[in-house]
Amino acid sequence: MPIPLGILAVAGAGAAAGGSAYDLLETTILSTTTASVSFSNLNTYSNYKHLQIRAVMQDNATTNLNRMDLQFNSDTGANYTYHYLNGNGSTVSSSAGTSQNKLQFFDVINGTGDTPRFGVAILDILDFSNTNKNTTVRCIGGGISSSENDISLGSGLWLNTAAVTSISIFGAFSYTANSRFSLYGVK
Amino acid sequence: MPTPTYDLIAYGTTIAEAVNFDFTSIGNTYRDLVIVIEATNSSGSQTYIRLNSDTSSDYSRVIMTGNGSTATSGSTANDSFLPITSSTTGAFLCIVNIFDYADSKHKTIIARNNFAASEVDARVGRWGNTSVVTSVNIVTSGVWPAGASFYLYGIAA
Repeated sequence: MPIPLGILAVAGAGAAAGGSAYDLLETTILSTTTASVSFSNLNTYSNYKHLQIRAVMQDNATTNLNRMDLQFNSDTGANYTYHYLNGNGSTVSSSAGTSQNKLQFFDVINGTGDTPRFGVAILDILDFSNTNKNTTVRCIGGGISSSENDISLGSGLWLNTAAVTSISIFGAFSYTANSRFSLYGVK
Repeated sequence: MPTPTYDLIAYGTTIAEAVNFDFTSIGNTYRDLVIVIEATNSSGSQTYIRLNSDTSSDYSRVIMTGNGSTATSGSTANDSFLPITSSTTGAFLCIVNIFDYADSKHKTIIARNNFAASEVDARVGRWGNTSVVTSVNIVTSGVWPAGASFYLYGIAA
């Protein structure tokens, strides 16, 4: 890697002593349009403190402003609370939901006529196996298509102290082929 | 089987005033790239990136900013570069995520930018090009003082 004049650079640093603190656990890449994606048996990852999902996705809706939904442990009760802040290129707005049956954060851009354009998101699920706390999620997500723009920051709460053993990702639409959902463990 | 990742690929710190920093010869070993920048914007300057040295009008962005009193959002399409900071003066910490950088999608980029003394922002960008990203050119329209640091990480998937 060339080093520009006036730059002190060190390249190719190896893994730090003490082992990895951030591991890839699972990845799902859709080969066809799919309504939902799940990560299950998360109890096998209890040696991690936090989970992170990195997603690259499109929806197949014909309308805009369709948001990603999440549920934990298949809980469909009114046990979710969330807030999000989003900018659409013109205005900033904020929304919230309490006693909801799912978490909801950011707009998944639609892929109609926009095959190569995908939205992205990073979701952190904190202390997911701690049974002394409700589970908190934070996220950043966004995308740019020919018909919609979105950048969002969100936080959510699952009002349940159970360890998170499964995560379901869905929406009022389906996710298109080549959408990707990767799960990481953070120690 | 868990796979250790989030690997530090390269980093550098300026030892004198500088106007650009390049990560080049990026292999396609990883799925996502993360760039962390700690630097100072000089007066009226902004920091921006170009991928693969592309100077065409291929970059679009949407920005959301809060400065302690107002929150605003703006967008620009078909620009020849992708700003990853505002032109606010001061020290900043910027974290840039480039997703699926070796895939045949347009590249979507999310950045979080922290000017602790004045504002925070979140932004999404799109590079309208399906090429594999092999280099990231980081440029300032002003000058970074000595001590600006740049880190490149790779994340497998």
